[in-house]
Amino acid sequence: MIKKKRFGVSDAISQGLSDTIKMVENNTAEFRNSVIPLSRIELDPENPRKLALSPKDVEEGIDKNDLQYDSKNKELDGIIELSKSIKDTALLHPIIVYKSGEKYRIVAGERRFLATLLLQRGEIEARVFHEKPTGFKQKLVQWFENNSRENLSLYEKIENIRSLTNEYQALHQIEKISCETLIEITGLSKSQAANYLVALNLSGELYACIKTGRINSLKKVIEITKIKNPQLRKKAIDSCASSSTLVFLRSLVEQDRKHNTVSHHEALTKRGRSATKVNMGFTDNKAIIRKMIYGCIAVMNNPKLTKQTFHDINWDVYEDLTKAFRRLVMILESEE
Amino acid sequence: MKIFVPANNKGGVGKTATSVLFAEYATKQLKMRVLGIDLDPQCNFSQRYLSMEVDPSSPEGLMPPIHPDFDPTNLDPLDSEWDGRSSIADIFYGKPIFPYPTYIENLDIAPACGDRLLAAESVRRAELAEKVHKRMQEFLRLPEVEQQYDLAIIDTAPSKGPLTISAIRASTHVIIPTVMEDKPIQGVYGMLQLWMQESFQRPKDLPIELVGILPNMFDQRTTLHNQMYSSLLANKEIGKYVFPDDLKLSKRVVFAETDCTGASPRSIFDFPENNLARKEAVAVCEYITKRIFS
Repeated sequence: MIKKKRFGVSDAISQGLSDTIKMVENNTAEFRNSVIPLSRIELDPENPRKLALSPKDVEEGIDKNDLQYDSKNKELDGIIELSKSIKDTALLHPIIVYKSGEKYRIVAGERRFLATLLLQRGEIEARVFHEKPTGFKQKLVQWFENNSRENLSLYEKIENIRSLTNEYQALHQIEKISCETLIEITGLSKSQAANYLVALNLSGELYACIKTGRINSLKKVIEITKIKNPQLRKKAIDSCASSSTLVFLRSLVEQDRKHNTVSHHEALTKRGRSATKVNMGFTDNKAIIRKMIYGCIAVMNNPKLTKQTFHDINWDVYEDLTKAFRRLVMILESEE
Repeated sequence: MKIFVPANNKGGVGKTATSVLFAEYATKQLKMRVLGIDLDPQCNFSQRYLSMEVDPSSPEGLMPPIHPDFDPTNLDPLDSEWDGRSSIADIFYGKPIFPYPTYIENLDIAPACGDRLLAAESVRRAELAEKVHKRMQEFLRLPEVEQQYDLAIIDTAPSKGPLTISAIRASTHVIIPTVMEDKPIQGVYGMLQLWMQESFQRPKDLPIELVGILPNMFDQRTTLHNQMYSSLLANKEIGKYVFPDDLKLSKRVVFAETDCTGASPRSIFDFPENNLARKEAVAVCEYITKRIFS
């Protein structure tokens, strides 16, 4: 008996059809990945250049008469290194461009573009935005680009965050971005985000040191900000210039903390309302009172203050000594 | 101007038949101004309306006849080098196009030229391929073209090469005709991949709409066609794009007959209204019209 025929679309094709339809329907991407001929790519004239080196320099060589010959050469060394890396491991990180007429303009990845030019490859992997990302979106793209670079200085990282947060604050009309929001938009960890927010408010010598590259560690910067004592703080900043360790800085922080704790303890011993009278205190030394009174009689030229004034005092009785001391204070007060 | 592209990786599934059907429906029934474009080096769409000639430089290929408006004694100075023939392939060579009128009012055709289209199809270098890919879109966006026509229909080859990419990239609407058999449905999958790839490059407000998967040459007597059709319909995602149950093009010899040189009637829409093949064709075309124009 012939088995009844059964037909259907194979599971693989059926799944493939479903997945393809779903991907198109759910597509919310604002960009696409592509491979673009190098000849169609140009630098964005609206973005400030970070490199002195131009595509022409890479393709034709740097003109010896170029005023920026030395700095361009230095940059070219870096580009050559990068091109070797791309040649060995391929371009894992596409450049970012947007379509502008017939050309594609670079949003991020100028160095990778130049390195690929050097390799004389005809095309490059790129992430293509449908239109130029502007404002906050542009800053966010550039943040992610810059964040992946290993040779960025602490100053550059802080300024990138500043640029990004300023743009966000302007877009959302808020005065200050919260730590949670910064984490959300940048993917930074909680401690990193908190540290960068502290770094954004730095000024003075510490900020100057970051700017000049004397201090290039965010962790060290945060430790220094914990030091309140100006001398210790200066010591900490100066020590960073001579490559002090984090351990050393933390010891300074501890010193500062202890210093602040002693001062605090001293402040804690005085309680209650301010005094309005002098407390003369107590003593069990009978001879001190007689010494004190006879001393005042000797130095002070006061007719009321003579040995005769105290003729009724028994210098061996505590009550008489208290009476004598009070009599001395009264005579002295009557003089004022 | 809407740009409608029947496409499928597999040959012989009805791309040209769909192009012909909708071109004639749009002009004869809806009175639209239509430009038919033949991007298939096989030149079948062109041959429907023109007496294509054998290309002496390429015996396997066909070329368009001399244009009816060609007058070598009175040429426009800008066209001084025109040899009297015009093909859509000329857009890939930077030359102007002179669409040919057909026997149907308001239907013009930009015919294929086998040899030249094969040359464009074989381009592989990224830079050149990119030029081919975007050329059709550039051409169809010319103001003089957009103002002249309500609808362009691009017939494509069974391929995912530069010419088909060029057509899909230019399109506003894509239809995938298929026979309800295994290999043609694999062709559907291949073409959906191309649709997806091109869709991702489009801005959100200019999508490539998928009109649907049109069952063609459907033989309802066979278990194979019925079950393959049901299998596609049962798929949640793809099912919504498969033409509904009563909208198929059945396997009817009349479609092949009207395709013959000298056939009468020449078009399915010239048959009586109660003709089954015509009724089927009208129903399918009404659905396509709704998908494109509403």
